[in-house]
Amino acid sequence: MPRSHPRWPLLVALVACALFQNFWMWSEDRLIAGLPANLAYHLGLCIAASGALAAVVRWGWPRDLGE
Amino acid sequence: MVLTVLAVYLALVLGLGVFGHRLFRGTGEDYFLASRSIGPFVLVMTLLGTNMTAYTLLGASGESYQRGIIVFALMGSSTALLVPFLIYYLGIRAWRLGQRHGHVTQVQLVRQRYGSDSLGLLLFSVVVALMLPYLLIGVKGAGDALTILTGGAGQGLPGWVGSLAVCAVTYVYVSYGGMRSTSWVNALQTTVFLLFGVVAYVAVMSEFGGVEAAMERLRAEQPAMASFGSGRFSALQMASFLLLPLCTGAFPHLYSHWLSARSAESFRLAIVAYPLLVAATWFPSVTLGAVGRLQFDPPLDGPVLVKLIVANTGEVVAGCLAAGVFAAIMSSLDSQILALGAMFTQDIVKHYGFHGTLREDRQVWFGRLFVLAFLAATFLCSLVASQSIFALGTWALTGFAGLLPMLAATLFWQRATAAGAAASILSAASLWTGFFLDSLDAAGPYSVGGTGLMPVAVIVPAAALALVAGSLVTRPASVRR
Repeated sequence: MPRSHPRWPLLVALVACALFQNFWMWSEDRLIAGLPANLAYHLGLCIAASGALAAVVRWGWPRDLGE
Repeated sequence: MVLTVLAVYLALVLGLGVFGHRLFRGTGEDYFLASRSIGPFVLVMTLLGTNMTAYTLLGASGESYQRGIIVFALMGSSTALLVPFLIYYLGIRAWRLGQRHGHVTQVQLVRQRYGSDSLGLLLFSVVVALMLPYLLIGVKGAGDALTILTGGAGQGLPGWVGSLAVCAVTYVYVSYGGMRSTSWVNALQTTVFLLFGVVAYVAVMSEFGGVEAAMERLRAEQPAMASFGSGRFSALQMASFLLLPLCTGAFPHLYSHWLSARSAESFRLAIVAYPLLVAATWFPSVTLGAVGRLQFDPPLDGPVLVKLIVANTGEVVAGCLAAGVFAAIMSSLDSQILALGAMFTQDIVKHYGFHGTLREDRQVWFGRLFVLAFLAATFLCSLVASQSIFALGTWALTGFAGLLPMLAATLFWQRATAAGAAASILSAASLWTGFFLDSLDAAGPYSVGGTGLMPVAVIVPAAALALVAGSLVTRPASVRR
């Protein structure tokens, strides 16, 4: 079974999971860009994840796909 | 007006579904997988639509009304972060093996990988058992939603009308056009509920003086709603919520959509756009639900989103909400029904009844027959099902997440054995049953031993451990990749 996927995107996934746990700012009650800080953080995280995934499909695309 | 908007929408769905039949090639592979021809745009929209249900609109706003904006993190961003990686790893790999070996279902993959019929049958039984309550939620949810949107219990349309409408429309386009019509209609339905989110958000927020003014009021008047640190959730609970979206990787209907992709390249757009589209779906729903707290005091007699829209906008927006709810329900129901039809046709009728050979046109007719049978059975069950079925639906997601270690190992771990895979499925099923029975006595939301840990956080590691242990103590069969 050849290894088709590179390993580093797994690290990106783990970093995303770690950043998901923003308990260090849970008590923050300011508004950022008109939104509660924690909501703005998670919205930003989704946007950043999309950017990181763009890098994954650009530089981490699986090999041996038979196309 | 609500019914007019809904009727126009359903006619549009039917038209597109019937149009999809024009390209039908009359083969089993075309019926169940659109001849593996789905391109990037339709693929991303159908993957999102299949994964979003009425819960995303009505349930999430209701949860947010109760628990505040933390619901966006618990259910929205957790899905946005995890699912694209599942598509990247499992989706592309499953597509490649499906292309190479002609798989149509997960059970075919498992049978071919491990050379075990009984393991295939075990997986088939567990998946079908988990799918049934999930189907019922959609059909019953459509009936409930239409009743509420047309005036509520006693005044609005009875629940069976909405349930029947959803089943009838879904039957026509799934039966007639198979996966191609399902995917095209899903792309339309996903667009509809994304657009509805924007329209509802702008219309309601403008009544509160804009987003910033609404959030400022929420922070001042209901601080617990605008913050994560209200003490109602622990970091442990937050961590366990991150595991729930793993269920997506084991859904048979998602698997079918993966296999329907035209090429591996088709996945690129889905992987990159998925987090943005999930955020765009959940953000309006969650923020509107939280803002609903400014206008309505609990307890509410109906979904907060419906009440907000009826109180702050016109009937056209209410009609759009009805269309959005139906879109969310049908975009999941159609794929689930088609995947079940594929499983019964390929994994049971073709495999056991015809020893792997079944004429193409007969595969299509068996598929249509199963689609009709499942929709009819689901509709009849929805007439007698109680509200507790919705809780069982949430449990189904936990069950699917428990199947993920086995499916991931099937795709990626050469040392995995049939015994390890069976141990993984059985341990997930046993734990799931134990936790579920335990939850029947619990008052309020259930967690493992009252620790705040969701059952999924125990079931997934246990299933992974059983897989590894079971595989390492048994000899692997020769693997054909």
